[in-house]
Amino acid sequence: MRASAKPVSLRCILVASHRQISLGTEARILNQTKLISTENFYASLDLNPLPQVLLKADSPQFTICYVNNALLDLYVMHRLKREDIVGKSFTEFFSQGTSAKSTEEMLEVLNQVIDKKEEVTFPGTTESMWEVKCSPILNEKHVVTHVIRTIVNTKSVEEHQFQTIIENLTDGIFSSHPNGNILSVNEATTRLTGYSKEELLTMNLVDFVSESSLKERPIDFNLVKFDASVTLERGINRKNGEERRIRMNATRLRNGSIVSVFRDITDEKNKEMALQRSEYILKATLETVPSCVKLVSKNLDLIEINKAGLKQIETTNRKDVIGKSILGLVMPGYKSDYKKLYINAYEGQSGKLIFQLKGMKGGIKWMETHALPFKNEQSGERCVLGVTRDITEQKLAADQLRESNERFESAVEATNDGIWDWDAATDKTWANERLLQLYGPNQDPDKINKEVFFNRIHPNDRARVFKLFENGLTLQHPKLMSEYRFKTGSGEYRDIFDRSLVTYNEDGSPKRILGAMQDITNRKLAERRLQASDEKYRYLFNSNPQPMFIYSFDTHKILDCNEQTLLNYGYLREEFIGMSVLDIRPSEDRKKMEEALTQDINIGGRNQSVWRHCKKTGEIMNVEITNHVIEYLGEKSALVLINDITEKLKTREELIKTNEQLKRSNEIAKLGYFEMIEGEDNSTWSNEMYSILGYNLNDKKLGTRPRTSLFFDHVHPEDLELVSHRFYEIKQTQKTLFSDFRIIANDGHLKHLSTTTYVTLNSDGKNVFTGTIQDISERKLQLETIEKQNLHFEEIAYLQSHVVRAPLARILGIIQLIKQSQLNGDEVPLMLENAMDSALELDSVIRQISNKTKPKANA
Amino acid sequence: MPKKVLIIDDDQVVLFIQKKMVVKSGLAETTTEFSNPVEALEYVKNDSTNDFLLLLDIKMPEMSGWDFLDAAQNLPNINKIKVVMVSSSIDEKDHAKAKEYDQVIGYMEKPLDITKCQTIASLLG
Repeated sequence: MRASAKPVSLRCILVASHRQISLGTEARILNQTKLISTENFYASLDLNPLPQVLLKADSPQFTICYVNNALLDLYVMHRLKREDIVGKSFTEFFSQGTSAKSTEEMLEVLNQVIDKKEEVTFPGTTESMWEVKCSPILNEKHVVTHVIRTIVNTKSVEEHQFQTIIENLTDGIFSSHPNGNILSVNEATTRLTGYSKEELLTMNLVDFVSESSLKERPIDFNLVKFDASVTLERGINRKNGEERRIRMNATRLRNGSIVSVFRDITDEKNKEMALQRSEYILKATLETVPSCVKLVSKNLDLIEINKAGLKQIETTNRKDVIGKSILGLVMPGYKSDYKKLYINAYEGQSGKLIFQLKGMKGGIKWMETHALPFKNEQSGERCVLGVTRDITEQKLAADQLRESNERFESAVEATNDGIWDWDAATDKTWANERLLQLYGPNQDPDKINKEVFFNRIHPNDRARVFKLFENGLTLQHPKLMSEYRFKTGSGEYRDIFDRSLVTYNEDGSPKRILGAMQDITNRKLAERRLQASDEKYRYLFNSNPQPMFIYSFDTHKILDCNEQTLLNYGYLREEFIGMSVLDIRPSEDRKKMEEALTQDINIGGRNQSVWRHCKKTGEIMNVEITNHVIEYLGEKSALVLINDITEKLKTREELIKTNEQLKRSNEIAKLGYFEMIEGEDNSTWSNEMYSILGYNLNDKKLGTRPRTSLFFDHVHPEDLELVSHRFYEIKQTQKTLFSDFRIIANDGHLKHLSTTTYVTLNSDGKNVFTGTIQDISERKLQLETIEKQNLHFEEIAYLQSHVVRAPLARILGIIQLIKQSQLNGDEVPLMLENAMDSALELDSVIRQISNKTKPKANA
Repeated sequence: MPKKVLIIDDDQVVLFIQKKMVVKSGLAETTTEFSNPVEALEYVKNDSTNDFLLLLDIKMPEMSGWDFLDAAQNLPNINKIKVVMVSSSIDEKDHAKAKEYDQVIGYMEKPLDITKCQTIASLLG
């Protein structure tokens, strides 16, 4: 507002200088403001380009209640503000400089304005050049409440100062007639146009406006209004013909004349054009450079970015990123450094950073960014110019190079080879640490040359190696290789494998030889051991008492065999080697063998099978074959071990025969065989065992294996405890025990059995009861018969002892009594009678015995 | 103290013969004879003062000689009794069984004669 008020106040001064006062219009405008609010009324005063003061009519001293901006402009040099003026008495503030003789006179006049409702003008004094016009305004009820004083500076006391200022301004100022004739000019106008003041006052505006400018925009004075200035640019011709560009501000005065203020903007325009051109070039450049160029705010928000930058962050739409923080695109490990870089740049310190960026589509790239302090020409604000380029490939290449170098360095460090580099021009040799170790500490590294090298080679190898080198160099071989024994610093000879790369001069002479000496002593030693081992195994193969041969998986031909094979098969070596493995089979077995050969077995695999082989004589052998799949002379082969089992099979057949005989014997002897494992119900029975228990072998109820519990089910209940105890005893004593017991066979018959049982431990650590069972029922019956017979005999014996001998002994006793004359006369006949009775008794007893000993018809 | 000789046999003839032989041989001046072993047992039981020599038959109807011995084991004066089995049995089993009793000092097959009585006397020592 202040800026726009300034030209108005200037215009008032000019008006004052020409005493062009026309206030009727303003008065009318003001008279119509009675219905508007005080605030809007004050605003309308501010819009008026003429200095105005609003007085309170009901205050005795006509207190100032408002001054407009134009009036404040007049007091700008006094540094007075509105609050310095408002509230003061009008007479106190304005009496000086007017024609009023005293405050009282001014008050009288002002009261007259109110009373008569007419304008009064205080002419300005000669000194103050003030002219004050006072006009009344009405409120809504047509009561005079305010008096407006329109102050027009007509006779500024500082007119000469203004003139001086105008003359000294750098801007050109001139007034012209509405027809373009120039009426007045200031000094700057003469300087800017090159014409003198006198010349200018005779000229019309069109005389120095350039033709191109006139053509572009003809002069139209009607455009310049009284109450508004017009600003436009024009081209003018200086007196010397030079065309300049001016910016002009024209204002029409109330008298119709036009005041124009202009400034030479040629240089500014040129600079602007240059800047535009520069900006255009810059913009074009920015849009075409492959690097990302961007402007970033202090907060790292993106202000502007070029196409390459959009591409780098994987978008095509600027809106995706403009105004947003770019920090979000920086990979986490680099965010802090990146932020620091850009903040430093904003503070004026440039810098650069290599970091990883994650594009909006997820692509991760290596970037190098340079951040520079920058001033945004458009906004004038400070910001940071960031130039960022994609160095992913470069970084990867660098990484690869670094890794490659590291690998090379590691290889050189890690290699056990002695590396040497001989330069023919200097006859000097560079050697790595390992090579120097080979030469030993007493060898001066700088004096290693061809002669020193060959002197270290074993005398038996030296001539050969020398010749090989000489021939190779003569024939310009690029690569030379040799093996030799090399005398190390400790005096020990080491086996060396030497590889050399030779570059030659144009004349064919060696220029440089780069060599690597590999210590292969351990390898040689291993080879020698391998050879010895090979010989050892060869000996084991050849002298093995078991026949062995090797045949090819591809051709099925026999590749090698040992002596025992030749002995067993009856072939000569030259006959056997080269034969097909099919040739040693009977013709009827060959098809089966061909099928077996199609089965693939991997190296190291092993299988075993039984075949029939033919000797040269045609005799058939039963052989057990063990195949070991090996690689022999680079060929997948099988090492075949042959075990002649012809005799073994014969023995087996005999064993089977013997077993059959035993089986039959057992059947005849009714001897059953069993195996019972403690804790398991399954047991093994011979056929006779089933028969003893009264089962038919074909009885399906028995299942596939007999049950131990089935056996115990048949034991007579009265003998069950005995049998169980017997098994317990066998287990405790580990002795073979015999026992007899009874069973009730499957058919219900009582049978007497005799068992012989012993116990062993099986592989699971369980007791295995093995035994035989014999049906002794018949024998038992015979024994019982004999026992009965014995009882009979005992009875007879008893009869003989007690019954037969009783009468006999009596008779004998009587005889002895008689014989010894112990009887008196009466006793003799009595004793004889007793003797007769005893004899009769004896006869009766003998008859009884005779009856008892007669064989019974059913006995 | 001389032993009191008791002859126990169900056969009266045998009692007669043995009495004659014992006296004749001097084995004892007198004998006491029982044809019923039960009575003999009672007799011995009631006489706790005398030592006894019993000539005891095996096969008797009321009580066998073996039963007599078994019953005598409970007598309080069993220690004062010596027994010679006198039987017509020549069965080894009877000989063997006789040895099972501590009181039995001999086994004599019938008929008892003077020689056998003298043997008994020697056994009594």
